Amino acid sequence: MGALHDRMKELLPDYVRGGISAGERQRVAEHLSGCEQCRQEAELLKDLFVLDVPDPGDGFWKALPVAVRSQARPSRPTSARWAAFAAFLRSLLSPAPVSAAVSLAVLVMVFSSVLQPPESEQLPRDPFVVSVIEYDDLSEADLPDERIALPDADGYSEEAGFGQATYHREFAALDDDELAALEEILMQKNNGGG
Amino acid sequence: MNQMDDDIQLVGRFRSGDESAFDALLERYQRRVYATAYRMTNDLEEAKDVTQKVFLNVYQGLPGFRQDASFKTWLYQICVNVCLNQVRQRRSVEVELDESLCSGGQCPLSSLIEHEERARLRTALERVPGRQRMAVILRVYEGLDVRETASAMGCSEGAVKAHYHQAVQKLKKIMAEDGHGRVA
Repeated sequence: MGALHDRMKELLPDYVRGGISAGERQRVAEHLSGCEQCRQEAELLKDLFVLDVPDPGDGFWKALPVAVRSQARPSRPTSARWAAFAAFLRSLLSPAPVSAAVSLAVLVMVFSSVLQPPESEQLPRDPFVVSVIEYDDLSEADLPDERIALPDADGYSEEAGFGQATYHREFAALDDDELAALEEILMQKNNGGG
Repeated sequence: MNQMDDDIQLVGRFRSGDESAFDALLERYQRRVYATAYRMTNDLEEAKDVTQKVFLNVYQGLPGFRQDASFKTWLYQICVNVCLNQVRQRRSVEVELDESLCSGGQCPLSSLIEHEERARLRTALERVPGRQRMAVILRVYEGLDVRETASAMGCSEGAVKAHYHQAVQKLKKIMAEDGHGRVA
């Protein structure tokens, strides 16, 4: 049992499979004729080698790639998940999503203007809006019903009597001397603590 | 171009997103993986499950496959691990099955003697411990040399030789105990 025996023994699996060269096959055959141990082992390996394996059927082979992929998808490998994430980022930069985002922004602006309350409701709360009211649009009907009656030519009005409006008209009718006299009277009255 | 180069090209194509490359790899190795699984499990349904698990691992692992070894060796590494896990999980059931089959030798039909002897040998192989059995399967059926078998099994070449030798001795002993004529 030397190196040749070990070498031949190592070749036995290939020998029974027919996986060695013709020269090696010849050398193994010669060794087997003189080595009972290797011959028994070669017989055993031959018996093992011819053990058949049942075919699972065409259905199994056809379904195998589909089954593998369907099981693999729920837990894709990390690199695949990163690839999917990168694809998502790329898709964000493509023209279609950009145009969709612009359209969405326009829609938001339109709806916000439509849903904004009318200016008339904003008047009491927003003084800046009051300043831009167009008074030219007002008609007679929009004016308050309260009328300020002007005095007649004699300075008397039934509604106002000798009110402030008449009082001012009297001042307006005074000439310079009368105004100077009146001013002097008022100054004396103030000085006198009246 | 040899098969190994072709495998590398297919792996590269799959990693670039070409799904058909995986189909080509599967088509090339599926029957060998299934045969290995069947010889390890001696059960059709288990062998089908193992085959599917092996290629599921291949599909999920290919993006990270570093090509330190050939695709074939890497595939057998996966196959060995899945098969041994499968065998470990059903060890208790396996023992009961062995006992029922080996208590026989009572088949009345002489025309089935050869078939029976094959069944005994198959059962004997099933009684060999998992790693020893795998060493025999890879060496005898798959044609892997000692170095390739060591790489697939994740052990030294010396360990492969030891596993293989122990498996052969055990098979001889079992067949002799069961009255197999040719092996003493």
